[in-house]
Amino acid sequence: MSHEKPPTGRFQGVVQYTQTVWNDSIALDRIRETTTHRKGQLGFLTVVGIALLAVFAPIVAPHDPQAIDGTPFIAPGMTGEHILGTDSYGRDIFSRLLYGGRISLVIGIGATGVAAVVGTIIGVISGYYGGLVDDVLMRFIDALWALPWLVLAILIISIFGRSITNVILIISIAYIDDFARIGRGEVLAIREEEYILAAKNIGLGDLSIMSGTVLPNMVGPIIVQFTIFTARAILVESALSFLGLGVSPATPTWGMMLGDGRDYIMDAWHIAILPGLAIVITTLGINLYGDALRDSFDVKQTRED
Amino acid sequence: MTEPILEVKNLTTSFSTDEGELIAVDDVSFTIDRGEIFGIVGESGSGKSVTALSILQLIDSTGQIDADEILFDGEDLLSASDEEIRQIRGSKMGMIFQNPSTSLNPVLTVGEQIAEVVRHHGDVDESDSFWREMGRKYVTGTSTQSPSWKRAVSLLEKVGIPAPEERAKDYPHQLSGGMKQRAMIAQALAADPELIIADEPTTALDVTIEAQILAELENLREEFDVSIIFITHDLGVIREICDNVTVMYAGEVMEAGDVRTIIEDPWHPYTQDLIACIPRLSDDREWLTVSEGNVPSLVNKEPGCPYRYRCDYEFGECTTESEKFAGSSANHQVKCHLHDPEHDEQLATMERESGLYDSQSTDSIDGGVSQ
Repeated sequence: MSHEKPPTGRFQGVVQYTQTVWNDSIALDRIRETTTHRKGQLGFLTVVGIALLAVFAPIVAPHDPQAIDGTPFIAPGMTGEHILGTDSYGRDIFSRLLYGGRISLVIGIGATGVAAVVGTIIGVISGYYGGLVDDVLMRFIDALWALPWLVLAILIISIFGRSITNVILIISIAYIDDFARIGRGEVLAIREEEYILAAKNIGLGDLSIMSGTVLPNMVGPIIVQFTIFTARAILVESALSFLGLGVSPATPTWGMMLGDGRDYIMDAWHIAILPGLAIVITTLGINLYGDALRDSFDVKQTRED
Repeated sequence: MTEPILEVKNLTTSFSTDEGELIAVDDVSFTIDRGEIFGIVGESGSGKSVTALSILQLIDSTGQIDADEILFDGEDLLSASDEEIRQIRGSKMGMIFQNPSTSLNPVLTVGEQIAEVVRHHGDVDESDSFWREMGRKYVTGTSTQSPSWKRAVSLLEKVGIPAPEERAKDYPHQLSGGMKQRAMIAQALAADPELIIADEPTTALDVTIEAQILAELENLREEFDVSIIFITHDLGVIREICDNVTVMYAGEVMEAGDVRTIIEDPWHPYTQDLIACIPRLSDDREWLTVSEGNVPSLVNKEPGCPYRYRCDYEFGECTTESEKFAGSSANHQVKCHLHDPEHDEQLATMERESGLYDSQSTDSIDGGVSQ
């Protein structure tokens, strides 16, 4: 490196800044660490692979997912044109899986993300302050939990219509309470630690302590919860689609394809099995990567490995 | 004579529990001068830590602090608002906690934690706005080029950590107990405090490290002219570094005064028992002296001397509250009926009978304290 002439001027500043951030970044450290984790590598490749396929679906997909242009019920591998066969209407399953993945991933990750952020904030505030704040917030969470989400789904869909946003909203409301409870439980344990007292002692305010001292200590459980619930959200979306409460019927999603194939499971197994496999592989990938992330965020555990 | 850094007058801290009122600190008063190392000694449960936390107003919401006044640097802490207290905690008073392995945040690097205090204290020209701090904690980390990080490294160097640039990047679990304690001290120093409260800072450490930490604290006093409240249960350590000492038992001050006077001529039977527990080089005792029994329950305390249940000299008068009696040296107070001039005869008889008290006072414990 030393023989290279150093860059000058503004460009140099940018390069230096990027280098410092790259070298110092904690977040990058954690991500880098997951690349040495075997489960992490597998999970990362799976998730990124599926995400890329979904993003580039228009380029990758050999057929229009809606086009009814083939013979129905072709089994996978029977023709070169439809490598994963066709469904009951003669639509190309491979193309539909690619397009369906877009919706399923957005809903799974989006809904869980919203629930994780809102739920964790409620849980942390509730656990940190305790007392009346805790009572009020947790009763609110209990009320959310007691509300049958299916009724909520019917209500929201019939008022606002079918859309991805509304499906995300329904699923996230159903999961907020889980994140709030996990968050609160973690905070109740962390709150009693001496380093919280030490943080108060250096004059930090409540907001700084909650977000800067408490939260970094509970990232692990939240990530695990996130990976589990992403998988569940994809399945819940399929249940909603099945009941006609999901995204519009024309848009393929994995859950909807699975529901469609259910009728022909004895004669044409691949129509139901293939979207099911897609769900399994995706959730497995997310879970594996989640494990790796949890391990690398738990600085103590990585050392003991 | 400059004004003292801290004046505590008649501090009482109580907690309401299901069984009744628990008085953890009972009518404690002391004054600490600038640059003084002040010791508080007593066994577990005698209210030492609660005294410290009461000064910082860090006790639980179930606790109640009452005092005539707590003057810190001329400012009354009792009437200060929460915001003012927070300011003082962050900048003028530092605290070193007992257990270094639990008082550092396990998921942040040591340097990060110290740099945060530096920024919070405002010594360096760096933003410590909420979002900047969040960005540092979750995304970028404090830049090793930034002034706050450099100051953190220099503080680590000052407290005697080798290769501070490297150690600053370590997480607490990667450091040994002694290094963690030094890091805690560096964190307390980061705010440039006028008073450091050290709550049993060496209890979790082995004796060699303990000696190093004690030497470090004394250096800091020399260098920064800070006052230190040193809380411990080890009179040997008190003897080593403190100027003045307060002996506490069951939340009450039993004896207070100049360290040398108290160790060479302890008046209170409790202090005598504490001293008798210290092993000496010249010991020919097969067993160390043990003071039988435990600290009495602090819930619904009965009036009178709390040590009377374990005291060798206990007599009728002990069930009534004792006054404080001043000793020969201007700086020596004791709370024991034996030293009431009215009971001179009692004391004399008991001394004659036991002989213990006499030998105690003449046999200096020099050489016996941990070095």
